[in-house]
Amino acid sequence: MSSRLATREALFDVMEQIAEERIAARPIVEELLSRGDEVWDEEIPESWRTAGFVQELTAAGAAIVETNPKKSLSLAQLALTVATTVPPDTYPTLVQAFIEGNVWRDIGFAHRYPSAYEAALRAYEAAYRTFSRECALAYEQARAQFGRATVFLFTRRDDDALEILERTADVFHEFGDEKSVLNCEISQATVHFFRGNVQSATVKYLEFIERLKEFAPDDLYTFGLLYGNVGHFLTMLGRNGEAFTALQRAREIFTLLGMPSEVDRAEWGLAIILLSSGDFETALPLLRNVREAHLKRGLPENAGLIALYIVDALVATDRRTEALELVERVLGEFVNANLNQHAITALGYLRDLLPVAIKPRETVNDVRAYVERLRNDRTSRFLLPESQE
Amino acid sequence: MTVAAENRISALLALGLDFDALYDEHFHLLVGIAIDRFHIEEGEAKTLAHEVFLALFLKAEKVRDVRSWLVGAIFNASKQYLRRRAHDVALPPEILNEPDPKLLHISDVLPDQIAAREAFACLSARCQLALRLRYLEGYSIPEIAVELRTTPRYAQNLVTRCLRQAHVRYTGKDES
Repeated sequence: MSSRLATREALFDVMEQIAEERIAARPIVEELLSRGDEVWDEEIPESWRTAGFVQELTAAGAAIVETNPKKSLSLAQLALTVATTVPPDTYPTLVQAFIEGNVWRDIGFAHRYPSAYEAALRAYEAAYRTFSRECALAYEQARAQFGRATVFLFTRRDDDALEILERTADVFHEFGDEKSVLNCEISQATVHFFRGNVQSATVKYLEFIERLKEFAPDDLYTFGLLYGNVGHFLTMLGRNGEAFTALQRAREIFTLLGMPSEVDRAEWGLAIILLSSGDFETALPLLRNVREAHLKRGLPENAGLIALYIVDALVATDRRTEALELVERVLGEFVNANLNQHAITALGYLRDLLPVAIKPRETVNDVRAYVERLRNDRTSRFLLPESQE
Repeated sequence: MTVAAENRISALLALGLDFDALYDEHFHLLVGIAIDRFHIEEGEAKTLAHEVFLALFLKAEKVRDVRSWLVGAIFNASKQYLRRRAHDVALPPEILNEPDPKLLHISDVLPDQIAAREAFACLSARCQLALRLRYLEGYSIPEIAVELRTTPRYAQNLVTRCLRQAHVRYTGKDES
């Protein structure tokens, strides 16, 4: 505990100092946003080495994570570097722990976009460790733990995820943060979905939507998330009409919120429904736009996965040569981005098999399902389906 | 009030934060909880309450229910404070005149620490990050590669180059 915060005056001095630093940092951070990578090759100016500067830089990075996760990660890493150079004893210890922990958490979040889950986990653990240095940062500790749980969720460490979610939900409840409690419950229901209990996850999600209408009707982001996910679940249950409506709601909400990555996710879901109902010509332009957007955002893995849906549509409409060209392109993108070797091998199989496959759509879907599975299990091996061997 | 003091207050208000009212409304409640529920000494309870206010101030997101948040924060902070205090052991009286064992080798360690800090500060941002990941966080080279979204070979070269940069810049600084 910091003896430097014994009086009201001391507390307000610190807060006012950081407020001043933030105001001074704003124009510099704004300019940094338009600069390229050259800032990384310069020494960090002394005037930047303040908690206020780190906070502004962190906020600027977090604000663009949806539109530019790569740049967002880079800004968070720069913020971490600046935080490291803040002269010791400038602030009470809580401030240093807060700014560093916060940056680590944002690094973890940004790593989730390109599915870099190990790096995300490491960052969330650093965030938790840093926040744990201070008694008064229990809420931030819980948020870092929630971040860890989401990584466990995606990497299918279900039991670890459920255990953390239960504990963090209790902490959030103690802080009166019912929105975060609901987020924990949503994540718990998602574990059930991953375990194959699609029906029960769907029922839970539909309940959450009703609950959210009661206690936070203005929380559009959570509504969007719930409609988006339940849309995917309903698609899997074959309830295409309801799924389409839910995904359209998600798309509307995220468009309103200016969250293009989530809009794309909803459109991707809508395109899958169109594919499953045989409407390939409507699905194709939708998928091409979404793929292009992922490529622009520097997310080749997702872009490759979307491409495999496009390949399916092309094969279904007798455009196998065009499909093959696209597989070649995706293979190149995966190699250039140094992506998972197993995925590259599977795409290689697809390139070789596609021209001769008797049931080409099955082959495409096998490879696509495998690449999709690799996002959660990086070591999974690709086995050729029996019909192709 | 001096002009400088006026400017500082306006900086806090310029961010749209009226902490005076918030403080006046909740401070005694928070201190009361720490004292009555957790039997924390008054001075420590006040400091703990101030830390809770500071944590709220630093938060980037809006808090919907500030009162519940503050009460939850002081409960959790008090619990953690007591847990840490439970590990403290009273020193025997005869040790009071002994020097702190942590300071035994201070004349050896301190110059190294200062040198490391100075060497670190004169590096480029890229090198600071690479060396922090490698030597403070214990990242392996492949992990640094993932963090920086590059290849392990580049990450290895970067760390080597940065160590050299630290040596050159720090020695140069020393000589000047």
